Amino acid sequence: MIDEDRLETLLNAYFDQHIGEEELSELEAILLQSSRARQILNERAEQHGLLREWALRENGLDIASIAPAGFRRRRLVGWTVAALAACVALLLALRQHGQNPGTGSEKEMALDSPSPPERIFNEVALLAEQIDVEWTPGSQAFETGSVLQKGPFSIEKGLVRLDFFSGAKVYLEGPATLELVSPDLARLASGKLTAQVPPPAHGFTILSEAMRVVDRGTEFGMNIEKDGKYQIHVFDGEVELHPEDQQVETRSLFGGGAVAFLNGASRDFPADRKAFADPDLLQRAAKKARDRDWRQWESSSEKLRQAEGLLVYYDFSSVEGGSITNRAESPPEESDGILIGCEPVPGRWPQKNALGFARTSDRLRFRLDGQAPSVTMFARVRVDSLPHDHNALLSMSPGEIGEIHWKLDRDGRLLLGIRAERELKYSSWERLVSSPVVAESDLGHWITLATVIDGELGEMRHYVDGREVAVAPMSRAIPLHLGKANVGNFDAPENEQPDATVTRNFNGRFSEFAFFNRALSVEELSSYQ
Amino acid sequence: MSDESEITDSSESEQHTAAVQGLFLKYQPMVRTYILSIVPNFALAEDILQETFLVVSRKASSFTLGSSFPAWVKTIARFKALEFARREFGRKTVLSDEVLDALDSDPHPYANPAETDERIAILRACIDELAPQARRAIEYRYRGDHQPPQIARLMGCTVNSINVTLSRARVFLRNCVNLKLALKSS
Repeated sequence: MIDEDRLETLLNAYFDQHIGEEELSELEAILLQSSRARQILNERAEQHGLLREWALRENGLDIASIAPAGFRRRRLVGWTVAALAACVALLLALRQHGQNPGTGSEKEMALDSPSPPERIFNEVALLAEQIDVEWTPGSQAFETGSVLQKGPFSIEKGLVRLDFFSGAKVYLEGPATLELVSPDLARLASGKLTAQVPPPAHGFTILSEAMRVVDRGTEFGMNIEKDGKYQIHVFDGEVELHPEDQQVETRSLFGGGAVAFLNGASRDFPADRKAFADPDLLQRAAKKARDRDWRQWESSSEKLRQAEGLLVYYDFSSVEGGSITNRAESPPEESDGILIGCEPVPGRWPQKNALGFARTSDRLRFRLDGQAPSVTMFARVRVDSLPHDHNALLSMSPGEIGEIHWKLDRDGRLLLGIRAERELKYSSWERLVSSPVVAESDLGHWITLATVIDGELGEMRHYVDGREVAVAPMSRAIPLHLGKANVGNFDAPENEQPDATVTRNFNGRFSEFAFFNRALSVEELSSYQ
Repeated sequence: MSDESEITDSSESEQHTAAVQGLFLKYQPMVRTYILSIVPNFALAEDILQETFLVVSRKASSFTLGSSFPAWVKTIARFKALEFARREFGRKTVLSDEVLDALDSDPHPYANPAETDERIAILRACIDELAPQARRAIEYRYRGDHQPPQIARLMGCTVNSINVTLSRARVFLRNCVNLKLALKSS
């Protein structure tokens, strides 16, 4: 008989790597003497491995891929080959599968492959604008700029503009429920809408229980009231009305005309534009909201400028002469940014530009001096695409201990790497990887990214729009090296340059960038939203 | 021999290598687990895993498709693990060859690779059921790759209490996983 409690204690010490020499000998003796003990070790090893597998997946699976360039080439060649091998194996499996029914394992390989992006075929319209919207309880709420898929769209209050991919614009007034069927077809269950249909979208159709309204180039309004009363108003052009009741004839209705239906009876009367929402209302409201946001930004930007520990603050309000003024209230000397490439582009508001990054050489360079136990990096960006394995936000002090890499990977994960040792090996870096935070649908939208390296707490934290998205302890204290910095690009350390052929430029726009020599709290970060 | 047949030969060998690499990918969680049983250190185990992959790719031609891939890859992984462990730590933290032989000759409980996703899903559900402190300790240990002394510092506890927490969390997770598996199969 073995002492299983003792065995468990030894195994825990073994897997947690604090087993002493004597204990290891004791463990070995037990294992040699008992097959039951060996079985337990194998089971515990499996648990240890499965927990690690879980952790790697939670951390974003390919945790190793955030190693820097030179390191990557040497170490990660295996993963590149592995990825390649996966493709080849998949092709083989598929081919063999085509020739004969295929074995189980080949089938598994085929099933493991990503499925085609069906989602895109379900996308129908864009939520272009909204004011004072209250979403119907139980139905999905959407942000302005969201792409809408086929399915019901329901609001309790307010006004929205839906831009159908056919080109038709539909203004929907709450309370209303519209089912999106395709880019040129929707079903109005209840409520009021106005449709503007430009030539490319002619034929755009609104269905309802009793009527199919087919546009022939026009602007029209449609209202379905609770008592089952329908009204169709044509403001301009022509629509065809196809009653579902076969007894009633199809008819056309022209600009200025309106028709009401109730219980099979119809009545013609003049169209009333005022009975429907004024499209200009949305534009005016949108402008008002933009102005309000702008003023809010101005004041939060002023607050940020005066924040304690702020070393660099670029707001890109002026990019003349290839130099970017550091707008921090007490900036370190010679800390203005220098542009290499990059173009001023429209920003979040008409009042202020952003900085566009598109070419592989585009970058903003600045330099700081000294060391810091803690830093915070903050960037308001619009990611336009994530074409590279690593898409740099900031890289600083290449090759130095305390070098910082801040970037997004191809899958939209936010990554942080801090160099703890000069040597080219995996364990030289402290890392923090979030789950994907920039999805395909987030491309082209403004988001705020922030990462805190808290030397005092020994923690690294990622934030998106003021919300914590990842946190992990640091296994060692590393003084952060403030030095040569690149925004939107990276420098490979000199000794690693022959290997560093990797492109890592950022693709998108920076509206603001800030760098602090202290750890900001989540409250502070969200106050700068 | 004509150029054409040479091309065919080389593409056949490439296909064979690709097939063997495909098997490695399929068994990767098992290989990682096996490596961790010899070298419990996560970072080192990743390096060993990659080295193992390189050897597997290089020696793919010596593997006959249809024979036991796990047995073949384990030989390579064990060799690489011992090479690394001896280099990094010296002999003392590694189980003796005699013990490893005995362990290898016993049947391993490793799950069918096709079940890995399912097992991880069950494990994840059980981790969600852990008490907050236990969960933090497990996260620090496995996601943050920290050892008990660091976890103790991060959580403001004694090392001993972290050892106990981790040990209890593992027992809880084992019971929870077994229960869920039993419920599933019944």
